[in-house]
Parts: sequence; structure tokens; C-alpha cells
Amino acid sequence: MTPTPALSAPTLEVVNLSHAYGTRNVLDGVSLGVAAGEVVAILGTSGAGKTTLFRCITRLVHADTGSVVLGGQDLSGLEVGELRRARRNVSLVFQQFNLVRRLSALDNVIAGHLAELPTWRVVARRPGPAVRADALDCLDQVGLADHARSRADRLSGGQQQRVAIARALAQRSRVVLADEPVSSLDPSSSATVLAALRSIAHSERIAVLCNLHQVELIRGFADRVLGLRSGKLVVDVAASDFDESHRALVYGEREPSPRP
Amino acid sequence: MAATAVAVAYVVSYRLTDVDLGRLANGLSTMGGWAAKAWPPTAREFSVILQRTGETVAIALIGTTLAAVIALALCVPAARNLTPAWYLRLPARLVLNTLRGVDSFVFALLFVAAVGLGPFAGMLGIAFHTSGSIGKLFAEAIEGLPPGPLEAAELTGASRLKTVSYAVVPDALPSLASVGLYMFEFNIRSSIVLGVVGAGGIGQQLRNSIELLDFPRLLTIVLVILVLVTVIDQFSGRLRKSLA
Repeated sequence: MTPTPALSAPTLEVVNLSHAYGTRNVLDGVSLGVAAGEVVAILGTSGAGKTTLFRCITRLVHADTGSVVLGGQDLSGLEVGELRRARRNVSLVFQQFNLVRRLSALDNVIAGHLAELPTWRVVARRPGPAVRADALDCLDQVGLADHARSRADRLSGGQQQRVAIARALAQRSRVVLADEPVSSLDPSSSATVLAALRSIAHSERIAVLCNLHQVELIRGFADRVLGLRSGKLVVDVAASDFDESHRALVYGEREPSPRP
Repeated sequence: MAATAVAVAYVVSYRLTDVDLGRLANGLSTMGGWAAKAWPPTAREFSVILQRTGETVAIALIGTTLAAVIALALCVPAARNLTPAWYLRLPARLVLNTLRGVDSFVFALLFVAAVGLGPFAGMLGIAFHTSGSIGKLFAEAIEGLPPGPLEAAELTGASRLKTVSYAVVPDALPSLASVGLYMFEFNIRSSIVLGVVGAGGIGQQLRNSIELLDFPRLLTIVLVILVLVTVIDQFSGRLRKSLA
């Protein structure tokens, strides 16, 4: 399977991104970078700007200032056609999974190939044996090969999200953006889903940027942790270094008093 | 204030419809006489009746199918979530509303003048009117779909046609099929009436029987129509339930 067009420097970089809704500064000078194979978690309260950040990165929202650089290519100034091509390099995992309910798990994963498949194959619903085999392989990587033929809406939440991850994998993007992927799931399913995400990040050298709602989830999952608060980046540390003081910075609790 | 307006509307309408209970009483007793003369129903020229009934079903089937094809083409530009551009969407909606607003009967009359008497005119009448009704229902079904899967497909970088084909069609298809079947049921009844203006089907036979005061034949035709409508309704109803 040919990967999406090679990028010179397969990382995601956000440079000084700012965006305001009316007078409210939702993002304020946010800069970050994600390397290939790295899992970066973003923490923050609701309204801290996590979702806006993602929408600016995918250019669903056009940020006021700053730029997003994907593999050396600046996404900010792209025209519709070029933006479409650039989007192939970013795949998304959503909180609500966003699978097509009536399609099987396998057909949902095949959607990862939507951009590169010829139109007639998509309309006639004949993706071809190579794409099918690849989709099955992606499902296998998230442990769901047995459920390939099951209808998406008959799967559990955790299973649906893993199908979504398989879909992101099938897209052969260099970056995966996961927007609160486990907020709708119970703790056990959350653990399975995050493990799947981490596994494909490391095995496929994909840069993963993941919004998380709960601090506890970063353990065993993230390589690095970022913290957003009121649109500003207040924390940027390796996961192993993340401690109470960082947590307080992100969630605005009182700073712990220094020990004597 | 509103109550007065409503009352006035009713009083005026009552006058305009020329309600006359005396005439109704007389008319009902005349019809009672007819009912007595109608029994037993006649099997005379039964094959002709069956043929014309077949024509009625054919008009409804082809007409509804053609309407669905037209509606499919129009419903994509008419759906807000697929076509945010108002200058494309509003004309599409206008066309649909016009088609829907003019009844099958009126279209059939026009087509009889244009293409001649017979079932072809009837079929076209059904097709044109129904495409407006179906198109509107299709567009609403599409607008009711969850936006997430469509957005997810768009963000893979695929073209519009691919994302609609992939993300919209599978989820919308059962609603669309259900709408189509419902309109087919409805059009069986519409097609029966079209024959009265010479647009084919059993309606012409019905009208002849009444004008010739041939009550046994009239009864036969009415019974055949009842059976037809009941069978179609049952069949279509079961199909629609299985699609839900």
C-alpha cells in the first residue's frame, strides 16, 4: 500500500496560534510540536481552548494569527484543492466516533482510503481487494478483525472508537488528532482505546496529538503532556515529569505550598 | 378577535359550498336505489377491467420511479447540510415546491393536451407532481442525518461526491426507500382518478359505468379497486416496516 505523499519532516508544528470569538480570546499564542511516533496529550478544562485548537489545526476554523505547519508545509494559506490534499495527512478520531452507522466495521475503515480511491470505485462501492485486505489488516491491528462484518451501530462504544482508530490508520496519515476520544467511554474501554492509539503511534511512527478530559489517563499513554488554560499553553513537559504543580497550573487549583 | 375571524370564515364557506340537506336526503335515496340495482356484480368484460387496472398499477409504478430519479437529482442541492450555498439551494427548493404544488391531476390534464390521451400522459402527470413531494421528503431526510460522519469523511480530504456517496447514502437509503414506497401506495389511488380525464387506467371505465348507469359494472369496478388498494397497502406497509 503506497503511503500518502512523503513529507520532508513528518511532524506537526503549531506556531503562535491565536483566535478570538468576538472579544473572547480562545487561543492565545499557542505553540507546540509533535514528532513522528510521539504521543502528546493535551489537558485542560472545558473552554480552555482544546477543541478550538484542533479546529484551527484542521482549518475548520481559520485562526486569526499564527500558522500550522504539517511536514514542512504551511497549511494557513492553502486553497481549497491544496487543502483537500493536505488533509490526507491528518486523520481524526472524534469523541462521538462518527462512524457511518449502517456500514460494517470494515466498510468504515475503508473510508480511510476515500481520498485516494477513484470516484467510480467509491460510488459503485467496489474499493477492490487490495484496499479491503488493507482495511482488514488495520482492524486486526486494533484487535477487531473478528468484527469486520458487524454493523457499526451494533458495536460497543469502545469497539466503535477502535474502528475509528483503524480508519485513521488506514488513511496512512502522518498525524492523528484525537479530540477527547474516550470521554464517552467507561474506564475499561478507555484503557483499551488509548492502548490501541499508543500502539499504532509507536509501530507506524505516527504523530499523535490527543485532547484528554482526565489527568489520570495520561499514565502509561502519553510521552509528553501539554496543558491549556484560558487559551494559553501553561504546561509542556515529559509525561514522566508531570506532577501536582503542573496539574494545579492547568486546572487552576491552589498551588501546593512549598514543603519545609 | 381570531375567534370571530374563524367564525366568519366558516359562515361564508358554508354559504359558498351551497350546503343543502334536502338535496343530500334526495341524493342518498337515489344512490340507495342504485345500490339495489348494482347487485350482483357482473363478470361481463372482466378482462378489460383487469387490463385497465393493470394499466393503473403501471402508471403508478413507472410514474413513482421516474419521480424518485428526478427527486434524487434535486434533493442534494435542496438539502441545507449538503448545499450551504443559498443561490443553489433556493432555486432547487423553488422547483420542488412548484412541482409539489401542482397536483398530479392538473399535470395529467396538461399532458393529455400535450402528448395525447392515454396512460403515458397519466404517468407523466404522476411523475412530475410526485417528484416534488418525494424531493422535499428526501431533502428533509438528508438534513436529519447526524453531521459527524459527513464531517469525518470530508476531513479525510475526499471530494464532495465521494463523501456524499460514502457517508450520506447508506444512512439515508432506508428513509428514501420508505418514502418511495409510501408515494407508490398514494399514487395507486391518484392513478385511479386520472382515468376520469382520459389519462389511462381504470378511471375511464369507472366514469363510463356511472354515465351509462351500468351499476353492476360499477360495483365490479369498485370491488376490484378496493382489492387492489388493500393488497398494495398491505404489501407496501410490510416492506416499509422491514426497512425501519
